[in-house]
Amino acid sequence: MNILILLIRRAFSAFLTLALTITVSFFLMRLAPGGPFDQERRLPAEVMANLKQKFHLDKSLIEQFWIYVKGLTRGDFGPSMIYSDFSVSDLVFQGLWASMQIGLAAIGVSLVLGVLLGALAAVRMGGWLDQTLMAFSLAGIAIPTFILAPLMSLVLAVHLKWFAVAGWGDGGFYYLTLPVVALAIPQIGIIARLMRGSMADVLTQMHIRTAHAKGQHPLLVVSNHAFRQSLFPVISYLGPAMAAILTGSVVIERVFAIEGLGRHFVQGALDRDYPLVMGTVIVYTTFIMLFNFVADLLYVLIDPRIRETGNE
Amino acid sequence: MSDGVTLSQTNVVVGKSLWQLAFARFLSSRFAVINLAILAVIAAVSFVAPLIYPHSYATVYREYILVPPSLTAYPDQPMTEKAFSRLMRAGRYQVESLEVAEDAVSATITARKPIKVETLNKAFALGSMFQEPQIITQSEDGKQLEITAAINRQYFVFGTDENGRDLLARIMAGGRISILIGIAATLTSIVIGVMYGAIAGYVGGRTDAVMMRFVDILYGIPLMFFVIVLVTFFGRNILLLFVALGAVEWLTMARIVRGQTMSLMQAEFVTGARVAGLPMWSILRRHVLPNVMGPVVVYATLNMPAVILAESFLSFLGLGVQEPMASWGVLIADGARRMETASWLLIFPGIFLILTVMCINFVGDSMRDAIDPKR
Repeated sequence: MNILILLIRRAFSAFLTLALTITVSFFLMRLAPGGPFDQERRLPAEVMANLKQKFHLDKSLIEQFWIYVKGLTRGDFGPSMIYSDFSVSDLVFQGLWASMQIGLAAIGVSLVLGVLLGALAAVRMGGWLDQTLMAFSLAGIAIPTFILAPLMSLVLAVHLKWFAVAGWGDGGFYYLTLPVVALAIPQIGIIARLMRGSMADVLTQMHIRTAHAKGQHPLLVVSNHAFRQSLFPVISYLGPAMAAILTGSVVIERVFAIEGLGRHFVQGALDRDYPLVMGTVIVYTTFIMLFNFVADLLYVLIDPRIRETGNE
Repeated sequence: MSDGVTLSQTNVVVGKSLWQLAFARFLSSRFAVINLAILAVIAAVSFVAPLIYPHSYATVYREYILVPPSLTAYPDQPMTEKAFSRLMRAGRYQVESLEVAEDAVSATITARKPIKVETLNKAFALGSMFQEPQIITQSEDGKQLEITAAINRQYFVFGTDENGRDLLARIMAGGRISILIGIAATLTSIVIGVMYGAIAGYVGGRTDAVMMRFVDILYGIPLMFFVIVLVTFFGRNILLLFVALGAVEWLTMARIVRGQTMSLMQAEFVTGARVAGLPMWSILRRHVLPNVMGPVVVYATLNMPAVILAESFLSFLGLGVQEPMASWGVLIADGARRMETASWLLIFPGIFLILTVMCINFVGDSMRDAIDPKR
């Protein structure tokens, strides 16, 4: 029952966030000077009027907002103002498909590797393995994606020819390894550090000493008694990690020329394609909230104390 | 504390403030000082070195497009020959013989008509590699000249970009922008975050709950995307970049300051000040803010790399500062485009950016340790 209350509270706050995002981004864009139909050659007045009428730009801002929100409740993001044959939904979901595969693969890789390496470093705290791992993780965090990705492409794709330089290709290993790894590396570093810190804390606790004292194998002590408890900081980092990976994918999609959500977003912003930018921002926000939500659920599932009381 | 003790003048111990103690602790860490020194060098390279450095970030050397980094002076022999013959071809002179010495070229040139000195000088002025030529001998009909011209030797330690601009000069200019944006946006975030957090923490109750709920909601929004929208839609001026980045980064600052303020509200000197009837602003200014400055300074330092990286990220997408100004992000974006033939364009700005970000982070960590010795 208490879980239910927690979930409802979270859902309500997620709804508020989404509403705020939609409102602010809508009015922010419309208040900016310039519009989607500004071109080198001015369009004839009649054509302009027709275009404006088609996209409801001739109505007042409030009316436009109302029309847009009504469309949203039906799951309709409206037509793209630049790509005249596409609806924003088509563009966004086609881009999302590509971005999601890369993003989810990256978050999977960084979770598995980050947690394992962090746990390893915590068990060998202070040793050479720990220090090497932490030095690498620091480098991974400090080198920004927009330097790392081009460098990786230069060495591994251009010179060694192990991977494709750019493009989606057949969507296989040869094409997608570099984008996924470049996205994952900073997150691996951050997650490994989180995991190391929390596991080091857990390993000093009484129940671990008891487990050692009763003669359990050290590996089992870590896997059975310390592991689950150490995961909490990593889980609460899931939301921010997703945000970072989505932001990073804007760069990655540019470096590796992938037609994903990030490309649509940047191009849409440059073209002032209002509905396209709105659509991508809404999808981004929803995704980040979804991951925060999953993180909350996992928290509840893992920690019996929250399960009982409904408090964080 | 017995009454009988009198202090003799020689025994007075001069008290040290907490800040002085923290400063001393900071300086006693060699690691911290080394990082600070590296930062000082980078700042000096960005802000002071341009005053004495021979190249400007906007000067275009058309003879030196995409030359690789080198510690020896340009031009080398083949470059000199190529540039000389190109100049002469442009002026419709025939090069009969050419000799390249250490710092001058001597050549015999012919033309169909008698050669005028002014037109010859004009031909040489088209490039910047040679100085005005000296005429040694002239044939009877004036159609053949033996000339010598001094070579302008240039150093391009980090090489040049695709427009023939010196990369080191551009890194200096880029460093100015990147560092200034980092500082200005961090200051913006301090101002907003400290005010917001202090008011929420001071007032408390329902106001506090609403204010912090708002911060929670903003945390859920991908704010970087808003900055991108803002910058593309409202034009790319630097001031907007400051404000936008600062306005994104204040959330954590507000949380920290609110927590500190709330715990300070329990302190007796604050209660005393309230009893004395001081207005809210005076209490905040005199009693609360000085006490939250420690964590604020530390967090601001740790936040600065994030701002610098965010600016570089925007510049990488082509949304940052515009030509001929540069930031490190702009240079990295150019370098990434050109990396297959001119990898130095990516590597050198990258090193500067990474080094700066890492050193600021380390300095921030050391500051935290120095201010809060318990950790």
